[in-house]
Amino acid sequence: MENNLTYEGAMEELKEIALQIDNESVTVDVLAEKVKRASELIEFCQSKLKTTETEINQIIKKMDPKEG
Amino acid sequence: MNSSSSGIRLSEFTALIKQTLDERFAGQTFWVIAEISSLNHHARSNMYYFHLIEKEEHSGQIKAEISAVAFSQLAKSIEEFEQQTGQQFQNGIQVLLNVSVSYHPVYGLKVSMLKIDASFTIGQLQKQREATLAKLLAENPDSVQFVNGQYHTRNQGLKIPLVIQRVAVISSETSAGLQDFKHTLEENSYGYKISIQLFQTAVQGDEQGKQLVEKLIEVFRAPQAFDIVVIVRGGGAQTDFLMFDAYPLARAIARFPIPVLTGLGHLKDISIADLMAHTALKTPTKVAEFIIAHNRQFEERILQIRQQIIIKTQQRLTFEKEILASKSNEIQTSFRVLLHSQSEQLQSIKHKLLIQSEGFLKKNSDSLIELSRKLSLRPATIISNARINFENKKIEFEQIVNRRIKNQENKLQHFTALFRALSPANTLKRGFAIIIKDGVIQTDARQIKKEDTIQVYLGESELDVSVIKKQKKDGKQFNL
Repeated sequence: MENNLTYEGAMEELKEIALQIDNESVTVDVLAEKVKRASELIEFCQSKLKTTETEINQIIKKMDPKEG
Repeated sequence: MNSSSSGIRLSEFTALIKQTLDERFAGQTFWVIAEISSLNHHARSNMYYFHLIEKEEHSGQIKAEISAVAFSQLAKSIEEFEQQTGQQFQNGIQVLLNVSVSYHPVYGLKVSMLKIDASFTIGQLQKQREATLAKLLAENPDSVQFVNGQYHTRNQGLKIPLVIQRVAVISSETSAGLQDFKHTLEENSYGYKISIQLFQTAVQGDEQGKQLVEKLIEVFRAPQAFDIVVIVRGGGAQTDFLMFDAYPLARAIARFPIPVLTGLGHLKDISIADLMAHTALKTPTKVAEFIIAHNRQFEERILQIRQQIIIKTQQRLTFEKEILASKSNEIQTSFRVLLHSQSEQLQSIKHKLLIQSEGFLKKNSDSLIELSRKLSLRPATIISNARINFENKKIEFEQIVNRRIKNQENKLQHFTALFRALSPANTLKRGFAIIIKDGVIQTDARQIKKEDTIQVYLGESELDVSVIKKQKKDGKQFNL
């Protein structure tokens, strides 16, 4: 998950995905991708809600090979 | 009176003052409007020592001051005053006191407080509060407005982030309210993590809220970003709320660029700080609950979106599967039909092909024989034709060359004849003569005058001739 993703950004993207799926503007091929992305975003938000900022920064640090 | 040189003792003198004052003031009380200053509570004796002052309205200069004391039996009245006004008995407040005058030879002139009128102070505070609100509107038109009976501030126009996780708290560390706030946040049943940074203030002695303003500036300058600022009040005594009505703090809150949430405890009236804040809540606990509910709202929203996506995706997949099944059926059926008709066509073509190919083969074999016969004659004819063609070309070429030579010879003869005819010898033979004067051949008679001697060449002879006569002729008789 990208480092600079905010709750606002995640929410916007989730709404967009929900809308696309709702009005069937995506093909079945893309659908799987979109659902996967949505699930990642939700998981990201939920884990971020339950983690302190310091912990988040540490997680991000671990995930980024350049900083590791 | 004795003479001035002998004098009286100081004690006599002070006794005289006391006597005079007693005569004038004994048994009398006065209601005096004044401001409390230099207050000192003597805890052991439960006595209050203070000054009553009056200031010039504009300059603020003290124009009257007197020492005052409230004895321990008045402690209860002061407590009641504090409860009724919601205002601590402290420096800077306007009071209406019932006092008596007393004089002590050692401690000097003093007034003793007998009663205190809470309703006067309430009225004063109300006036002060109204003045503060009016000043806020007048001096900050860009950040404080009053519309339809409501105050609107710039801070209220700010948007709280979707999730609150970085909270700056302005409070005194010892305050019970802060503990409630922290506890409610930390123990939330959803497991939300919220980081709190405390900006600590003193509980008391900040009538103008100056410390709170300083803390707000500190929050603003802090290197880390905050989602909201929370101001919680100490709790306990209900008497330190004056600072929350003070102009500087109210102005700072109204203009603050991060949403400010207040939880100042159960005050008598809603404070001006509350009016200016983004969100005013009754207690610190309520602020914490607000934050949790705010974050919960976000989580519920994303869970709702998840549910929506799941349902829609399932519907979509079911729908697509059905379409696929029906398409697959259609394809199978039409494929079978196609296969059958193609196989029949193939059979018929195969049959036709057999018949046609037999005829075709026969016909082609005949024409092949004919062609091979023709071909065998062909080379001899080509060579013979080429030879004849070559001979013809050769003759043609020779003729062209001869004709060219003859032509050139004729031209040559013609020019020889011409040149011969034009030679001077021949010209002379034809009756022309050459005239020379002074060794130069003359072609124009204008150079020759009467009696000139000239030479004339005629045939093979040279004649010396004198000109006898010169006559003009048009010369046309020689034109050809």
